[in-house]
Amino acid sequence: MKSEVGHLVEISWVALGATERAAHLPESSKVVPVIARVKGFAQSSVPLGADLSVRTFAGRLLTGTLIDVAPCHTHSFGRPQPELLIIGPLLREELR
Amino acid sequence: MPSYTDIIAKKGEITAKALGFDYTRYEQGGLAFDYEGMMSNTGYTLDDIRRIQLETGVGATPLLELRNITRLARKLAGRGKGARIFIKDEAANPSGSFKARRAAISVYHAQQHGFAGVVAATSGNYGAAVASQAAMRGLKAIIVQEVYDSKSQGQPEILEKGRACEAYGAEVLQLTVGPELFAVFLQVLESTGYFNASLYTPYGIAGIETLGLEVVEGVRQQTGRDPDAVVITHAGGGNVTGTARGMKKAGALATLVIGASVDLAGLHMASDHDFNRKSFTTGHTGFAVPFTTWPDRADVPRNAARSLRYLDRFGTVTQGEVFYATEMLAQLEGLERGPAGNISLAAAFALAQEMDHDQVIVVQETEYTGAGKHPNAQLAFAREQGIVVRSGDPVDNVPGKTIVIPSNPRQLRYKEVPLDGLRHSYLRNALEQKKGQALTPREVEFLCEDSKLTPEAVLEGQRERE
Repeated sequence: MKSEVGHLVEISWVALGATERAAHLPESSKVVPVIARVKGFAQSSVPLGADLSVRTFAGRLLTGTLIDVAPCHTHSFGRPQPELLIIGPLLREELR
Repeated sequence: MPSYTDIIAKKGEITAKALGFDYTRYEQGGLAFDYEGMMSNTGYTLDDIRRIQLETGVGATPLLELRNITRLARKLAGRGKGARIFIKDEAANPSGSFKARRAAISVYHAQQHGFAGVVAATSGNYGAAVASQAAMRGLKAIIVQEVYDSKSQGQPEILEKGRACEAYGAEVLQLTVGPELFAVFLQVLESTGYFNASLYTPYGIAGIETLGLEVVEGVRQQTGRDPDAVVITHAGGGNVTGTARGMKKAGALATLVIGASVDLAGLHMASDHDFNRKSFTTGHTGFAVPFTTWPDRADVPRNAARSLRYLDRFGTVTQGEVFYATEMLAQLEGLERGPAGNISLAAAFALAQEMDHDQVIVVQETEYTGAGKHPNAQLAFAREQGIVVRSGDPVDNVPGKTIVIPSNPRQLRYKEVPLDGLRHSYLRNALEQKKGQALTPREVEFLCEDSKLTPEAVLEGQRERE
């Protein structure tokens, strides 16, 4: 997969390395870097994993590693939950 | 990027420039400052704020009586008990939450003062609110969010909030877990010269005062009396502070201000491991307790949100109880809303049962729901993280391990958190700042105003520390 000039992509970069982080962090955070991600319009055509500059929605020019092309929102409504499905009928019964 | 400490060292300089608000005018030495002076010098009266908000369709939201939920609460309560429950449908604001009120004044102010754009550090509905208001006023918006753990797994609710920001044309800078978000935010402010649309400025808080005012006006209109209690979802303290100030300005001096948060005790907010083991991203004790007991941890020199000044009671509910309340609101009242506003609904449902049937209790906000925010989305995600989800008695909830959805409405409870304990924690945090130096008379007075402790209690705290 490659970026196309002017098309929406997502880049990421290390905002702070693990050793540059704030003091007094919990163990699980201490050992990992702070990663930043942003979407924007590709300024050049490069393969996934290559460095790329993008123009963000606010018009800023930011540079990072190309991680996605035409990034898609995949968060959903989730599968139905049995513990919730019983609530409505039970409450209506209570009110009857 | 410069190191974390280098950027944080420039905090005062960067934020002062990005706000055009001179906090030093209100400093009174050491811990003390003139809070009311600061709050009254925004340059906007409550009438101005109403007018500015109406320009962009913010506020004047419906106050709805929850008749079926009230009927249910009365059935469970003893004879003569069960207050009328109302809800302020803040989801009717342009970006789907009360946060539009908070963003409206900041974005207006930024526009009036010639800023080209606004920046906000928020993983919540406030991002969409700033983005929406900025879109209306022709400003650029950058939202800095904490979204992912180190495995690139995003919290579904925050992913949704990020999507909403982008829908309104904002740049969304998404980060992995950690307090360094603040440093990245400062760097964006410095490099863009945009306005700091912080949640915690006097503008942000003044914007919420109209909500308190409207709640009181609405209840008076519909019931002929003042609300007996207003339940407010409590996190950083802005919602409590702004609403309570508005209620006082409306003259509702006897109305109880009750804060409610989801209990997330034991989960560390800066922990990469714990981050995705919670099903609520705001309105929880992970924000409420630290901000209540030390407000000046915010992204401004002096936090305008100071909840101990306003809270009459504070209590918690469990994650499972809020999911139950969300389902109850949809199924019995035909209102699909949530999640954060339903924290106060879960609390109000329990509290109403302690109150007399001629009394009135108000749930002070709703918010829009959708993909990622919906209980199904959160519970499915929780299961993927290895959290046990089951029906039962919510007393068995263990944050980060078990979510117990009540098996019947009698199991919804409000757990009182004694405010006195929080007031003393506040005092300990304040004395920590003094590093052993004695308090000045003005500092003692200020700490009493800010915590509602007596002068004797403050001096006793100081003696104990010595």
